Amino acid sequence: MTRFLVRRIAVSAPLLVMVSFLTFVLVSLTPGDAAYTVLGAGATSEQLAQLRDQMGLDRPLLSQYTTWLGHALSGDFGASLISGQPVGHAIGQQLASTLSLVLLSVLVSTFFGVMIGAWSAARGGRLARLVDSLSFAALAVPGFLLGLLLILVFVLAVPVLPASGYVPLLESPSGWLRSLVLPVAALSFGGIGIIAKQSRAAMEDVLGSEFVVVLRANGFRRGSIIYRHGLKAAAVRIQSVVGVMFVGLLSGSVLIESIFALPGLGSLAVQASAQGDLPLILGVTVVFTLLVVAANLILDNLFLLVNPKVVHR
Amino acid sequence: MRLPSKIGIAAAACVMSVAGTAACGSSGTSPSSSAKDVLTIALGTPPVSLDPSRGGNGPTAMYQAPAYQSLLHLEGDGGTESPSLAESFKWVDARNTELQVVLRPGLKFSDGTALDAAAVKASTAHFATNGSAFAYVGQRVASVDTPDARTVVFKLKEPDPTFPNQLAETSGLGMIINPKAIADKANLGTSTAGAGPYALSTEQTVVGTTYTYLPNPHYYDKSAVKYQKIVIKVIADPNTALAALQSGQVQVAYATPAGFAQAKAAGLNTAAFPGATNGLFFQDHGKLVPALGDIDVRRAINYAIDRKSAAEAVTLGTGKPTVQLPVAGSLGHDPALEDVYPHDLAKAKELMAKAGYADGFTLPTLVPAFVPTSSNLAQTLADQLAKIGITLKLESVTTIGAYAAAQGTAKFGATVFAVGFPLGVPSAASVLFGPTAQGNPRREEFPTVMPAIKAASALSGDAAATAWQRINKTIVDEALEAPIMTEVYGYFFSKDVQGVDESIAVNPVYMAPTP
Repeated sequence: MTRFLVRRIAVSAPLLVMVSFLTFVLVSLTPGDAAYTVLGAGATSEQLAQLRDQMGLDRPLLSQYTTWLGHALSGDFGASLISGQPVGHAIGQQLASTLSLVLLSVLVSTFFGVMIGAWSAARGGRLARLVDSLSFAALAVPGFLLGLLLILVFVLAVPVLPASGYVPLLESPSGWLRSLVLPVAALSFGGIGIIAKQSRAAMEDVLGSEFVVVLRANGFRRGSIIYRHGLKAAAVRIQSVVGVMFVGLLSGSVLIESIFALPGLGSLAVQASAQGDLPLILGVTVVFTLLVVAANLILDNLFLLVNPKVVHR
Repeated sequence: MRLPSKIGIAAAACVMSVAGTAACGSSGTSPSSSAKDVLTIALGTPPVSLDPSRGGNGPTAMYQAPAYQSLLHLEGDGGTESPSLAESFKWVDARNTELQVVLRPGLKFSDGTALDAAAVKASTAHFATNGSAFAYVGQRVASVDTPDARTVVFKLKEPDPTFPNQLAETSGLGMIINPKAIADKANLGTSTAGAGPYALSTEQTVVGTTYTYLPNPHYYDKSAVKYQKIVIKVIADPNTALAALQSGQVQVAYATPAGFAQAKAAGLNTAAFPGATNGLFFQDHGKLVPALGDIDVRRAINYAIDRKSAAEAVTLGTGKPTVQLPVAGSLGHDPALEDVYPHDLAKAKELMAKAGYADGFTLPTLVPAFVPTSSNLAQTLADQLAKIGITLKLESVTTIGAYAAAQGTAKFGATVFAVGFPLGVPSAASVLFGPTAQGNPRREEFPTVMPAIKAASALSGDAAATAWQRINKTIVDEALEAPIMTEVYGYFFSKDVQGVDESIAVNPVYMAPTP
């Protein structure tokens, strides 16, 4: 187990370097750097050269990257080229809202997805087909559209929830929850569809297997067979979907954050990209990569807990 | 299996909340804050920087305004300035080259340091040299004299009747920055160091998302501080911003063309001012696209455009068709010019044939996809100009940086853009025709208007008004550009707040709770 962890972390390190380098190169190749953003149209080449010199953008690409990497390894992600704010601080300010949004959405989509999927697998027939159709519908409705509809209903028609903003958990737990209900609902909707469909398929396979027949023959209660033994056996398949879904929700959060004006990493990434703010983009990319690596690591370990037969190589 | 996951969730929640409280503080939605104490404003984009020299003008100046009071203030429709940090101001000479500003007595920055003439001089130097889009305004100043601690004399390189306006909210030049903060530039982009009624609270601010301002204890007029807190929230989606306004989460929100009908139906107040002039701006007059060097071709383009239907389509009826650059009422505007280019396809085709372009030509055109009205207008124009054989080869860019870079390549014959000319023809002259103007990437010389612009800049009063009108007539007659519509710029606001429509330079400092 420890060896597995060490190996996974060792593999993640080159991944981080690769992702950050690719981001660096791609952003550098995009027309219109931070100097253009600050100076705007009509900047003379002398003004541009002077500002690029100030920002360090006139140095060779590789040297810029290695300097950044050197500092990043010691925990210094530099400062935003535009506002001068330290990147670490900017990310620290906005991480909480993104984590709240994505983790709650994972929990909500997993819980409802599994419940609906298991229930329809156990019932079969029309209900199963209905779940299938609804899953497709959930996948087809874009989160942002749903977000706008939710605002229309729960902010304007029946004003019970706030339209925008984020309240930190420690400041007001109820405010935190209220500020996240609509964004989480909009982000989880598609996820519930995916998980429900996968859960139904996994459960159908499990419920048709020999050990379930044996359990039935031995007089186990139906509920116990489905929700205790069946779900446990189907869990590995469902978990692997949750891992993929986490990554999807992370990218989906970008639009949802913008619609509900949540101060998150997604909006930070969009803003930094629009302004060609290289250090900020790199910082956000590294954090996103770390989150994906961490999520996969946690899920892989959950596999072990759920089914010790899974062997990590 | 259960125990570890519970610990995991608890740990994750802890990380979240610690980061959350350290950062955000109140986001203006806490139930204890009433509309009388806290003013919450929704804007669509965050500022590039809080440093007035890099902050930009227009709506994003709202981020600096609470903390950086400017030397002068724009009155009403923007035509006149009144003293603000200044006690008085006047032109020393008759040629608009020497402006004397006397500061109020006892002015202090938010850290208690005195704001004197030397501070104004240092701030002006920073503005001119800090490398920003508006640096050219500061670079017009040849020197700043400080005969005594409260008197400042700006000596300009060339006559500039618009200079007092630049010291008001039009550019950030009049927003005086604490010399201590200029010396240590590191925090200028994310904090404030001005002498306004408020100062940014960095603890309660999340850069890019929520900006919180608290009263400045050293401000000279306590009665002018109307709120215990001003919060500006960035709400990128206009529907969300309007919903936040309707539900009472914010009191003021930026307007979009599509929002006007909904805002009125919801019983909200609206403040609307003539905004940017949206149109087809020629980036070249004959060197890159030879056809554009022919006055008949440029006139043909102006005749071929159906401005009324373009304005209807792009701004849903809120914009006004126009053939001239300055907005109605501003310096040099002439209502009589509106009849010069009626929509007349036959006439346009005739002019094209006369110029030898009966078969049309291709016009490479730069389109800012990040300005929705311009990007829509470009599509409409492509259809309209195709009718006289002109093919607009549209190239869209998605960020202001990419736009500036593309413009710098001088590969485009034209661009569709919405440009504000707050001071009428003098603004248009400095933005479009000057040798270093933003809208003149090929550094063209414009011999038919530039000498007249220089002469008019040294005039004042009625003589100036007549001269600028004459220049405007030349620009329209020679079809140097193809302006299409004046957009509306404005805000929606609730009944809890007043003063939003006090001036075209919408400034949170002038907003107050409705009694």
